[in-house]
Amino acid sequence: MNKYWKSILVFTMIVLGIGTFYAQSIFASGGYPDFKIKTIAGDAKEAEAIQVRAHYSAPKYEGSVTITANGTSDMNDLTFWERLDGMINNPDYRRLTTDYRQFMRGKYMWGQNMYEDDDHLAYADIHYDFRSFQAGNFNFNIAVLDKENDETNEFTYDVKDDRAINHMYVESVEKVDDELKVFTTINRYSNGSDEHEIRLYIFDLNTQDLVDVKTVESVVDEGEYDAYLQMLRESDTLKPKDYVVFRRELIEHKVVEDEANGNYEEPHTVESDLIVYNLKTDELETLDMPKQLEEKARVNLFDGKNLYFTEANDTGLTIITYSIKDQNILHERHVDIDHAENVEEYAHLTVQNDRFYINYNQPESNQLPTIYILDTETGDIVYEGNIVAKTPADLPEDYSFSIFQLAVQ
Amino acid sequence: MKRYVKLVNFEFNRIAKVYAVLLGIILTSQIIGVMITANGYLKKADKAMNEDMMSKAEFLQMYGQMDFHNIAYSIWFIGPIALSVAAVAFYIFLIWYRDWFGKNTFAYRLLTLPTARLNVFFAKLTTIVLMTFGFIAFQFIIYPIESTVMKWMVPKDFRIDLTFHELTQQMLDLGLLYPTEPMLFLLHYGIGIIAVTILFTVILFERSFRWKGIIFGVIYSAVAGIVIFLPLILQEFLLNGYFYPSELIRLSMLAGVIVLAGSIALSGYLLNKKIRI
Repeated sequence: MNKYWKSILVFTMIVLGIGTFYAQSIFASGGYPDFKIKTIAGDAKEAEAIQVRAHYSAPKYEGSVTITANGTSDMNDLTFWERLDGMINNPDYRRLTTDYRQFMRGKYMWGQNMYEDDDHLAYADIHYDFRSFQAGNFNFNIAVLDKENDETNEFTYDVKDDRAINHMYVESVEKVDDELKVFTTINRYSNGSDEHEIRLYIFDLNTQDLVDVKTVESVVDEGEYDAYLQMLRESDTLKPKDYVVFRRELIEHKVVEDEANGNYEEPHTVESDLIVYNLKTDELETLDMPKQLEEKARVNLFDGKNLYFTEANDTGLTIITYSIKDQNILHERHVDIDHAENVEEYAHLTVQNDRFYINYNQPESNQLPTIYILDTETGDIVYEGNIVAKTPADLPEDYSFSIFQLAVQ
Repeated sequence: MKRYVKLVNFEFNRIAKVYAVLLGIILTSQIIGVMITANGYLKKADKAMNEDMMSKAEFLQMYGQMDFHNIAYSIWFIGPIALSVAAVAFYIFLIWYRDWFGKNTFAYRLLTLPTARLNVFFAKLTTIVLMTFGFIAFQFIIYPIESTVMKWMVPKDFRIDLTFHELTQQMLDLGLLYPTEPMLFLLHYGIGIIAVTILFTVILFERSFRWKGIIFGVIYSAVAGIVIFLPLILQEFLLNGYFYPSELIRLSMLAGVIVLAGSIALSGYLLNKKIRI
C-alpha cells in the first residue's frame, strides 16, 4: 500500500475537487432573484401568455433572464443541448422545431419568412451565390407542410431579372388558398440613386409554378433625400392576415451646426405614407385616414387587420386603433402610467391574439416594469400588473433591469 | 488490470516530485497574488480616503468594490496555471522519449514486461490525464483558501465575494480550462484526451520508423482531423444545415470516439509489431 500513496492521494484529490465543484454547480441557484408577474388589477390568466426577456445586472450577476407569470429562468436552466439549439431566443422557434422537427431541418427562421395556420406551415427563403463581393443567382427555396398528413411540398424557383440585383430578401410569406404570396425587397445600388423595390411573387402550390410577379412599390434615392420602404412588422409574423402594410418614407439629412461638438446630420422626415396590400383581392388600397392620425407620431403596430397608433405624454400612453377594413378609428384609449417620462423610448409594445400589451420600465430608475393589457376589440384595459421579486430581500440595493424583448406565446 | 494499475502508479511516481513542486508553485504564487492585489487595492483606498479626502461612497463609486477578478487577471494567478499547462504539454512527449534517451534504454525493459504492451500506452495516457485533472481539482480546492485570505485582508464593505463558479463564468479564458458545467467539462477534456492519443500515435510512428515515421504521423493526424470534422464539413457543404446543432455535436462526438479507437488500435499495432528500441 505504501508504494501507492502518491497516486491514491492525487486520485482522491481529483474525485473530491472536481466532484464537489460540479455537484455545486448542479445544485447552485441562478444568482438572480426569482422574478414573477404580480397582478394588480384584472384576471391573472391574462398574464400567463407573457414572456419578458430582460438584461439584469447586479453585483453578482450579469445576464439575460426570462420572466413569466410562474417565475424566472436564465440560460443555465436549459439543458446543454437545448442551449445549443438556440431554444431560448424565440418561443415560436422552440415550438416549431419540437412539433415539426423534420420539416424545420436546415431552415433559418427569422419570423417573417414563415407562415402558419391550423393546417399548414410555410417557409420561403432566398439563396444566392456570393462571389467577388457581388451576390448573384438568386433563387427561392419554398416548402409548405401539410400538418394533417405530414406531407411537404418543396420546390425552388430561379429569379430572372433583366437588371443586376445587389440584394434580395424575403419580407413576408402569406398563404392564401392554394397560392403562396412571397413579398421580397430588392435593392439595387448605383451612385447616389439607390433603388428599393417591394416585389411580390405568387406561386401556385398545386403546380409549383410561378403565376404572377408584380412590383408593389419602388422608390429611388434622390440627391440629399433617402427613400425607404419598410414593412410594418406585425407582432405575430406567423399567423394569417388580411393585409400587408408598408411604410414609404422620404428622409432628408439636414446638417445641424453645432460649434461645441462639430456639425452632424439629423434625419428629417419629409414625406411618409402607408401602402396597404389586400391579400384577398390582390389590390392596393388607399387609406383615407383622419388628419389627426396622419399628423400623429408613426404607427408602430399592426396585427394583420388593424393599425395601432400610439402617442406618449407625461401621464401615459394613448393608443388609437384604426381598422383598415372599415377605414375608421375603432377606439382611442389613454393608459395612465406612473413615471411615464420616457414611455416613448422604453415601452415595449406588442399586439397578439386580440390583446395589446404594454411593458414599461426605465432602466436607470431602479424600478421594476409595469405591464398593461388591453382588449383590442373594446379597447378596455383588462389587466394591470408588475414584475416583482418573489422575495424582495433577494433584490440588491444596486441593480439594473432593462427589458429587451416582450413575447407572447 | 492489476498490471495496468501497477504501471500507472509506476509512471506517476516518476513525475510525482516535479508534480508536487508545480502544485507548490501554484499555491504560493496565487496566495502571493491575492496578498499583493488586495494590498494594492487597500493602499489605493487609503490614499483616496485619507489623502484626497474622498468619502467611502465616492471611492467605491470611482474604483468599485474589489472582487476576485482583480486577482485572477494578475500574472501571479494566471502565470502558474500557464506553467502547468506548458508542463503537461511538454511531458506528453517526454513521457515516451525519456524511456529511449534516459540513462539506460529503459524502453527495452518496459516493453519486455510480461503484460500486454498496450498497457504501457494506457498507463502513460492515464498519467497525463491524472496530472491534468489533478491541476484542475487542486485549483478548485485551493480557491476557497485564497478567497478566505482576501476576506481577511479586505473589509466587507469593500469586497464582493465570488464563488469559483461565478468567477469563471465571466472569464472566457479560465472558463475554457474550468468549464462551469459537467457536459462542457466532458467535451473540453474529451477533445483533449483524443488529441493526446493522436500525439501518442504520432510519437509511436516516429519511434517505429524514425524520420519516415514523422511523415506517417503527420498524414495520420490529418486523416484523424478530417474524420473528426467530417460531420461539420458535410453539414456545411453538402447537407445545407440538415442537422440541428445538438445533433451535430453528438455526431462529432461519435467521430471522436472512432478516432480514439483508431488511434489506440494503431498504437497497439505499432507497439507490438513495429517499435524499435
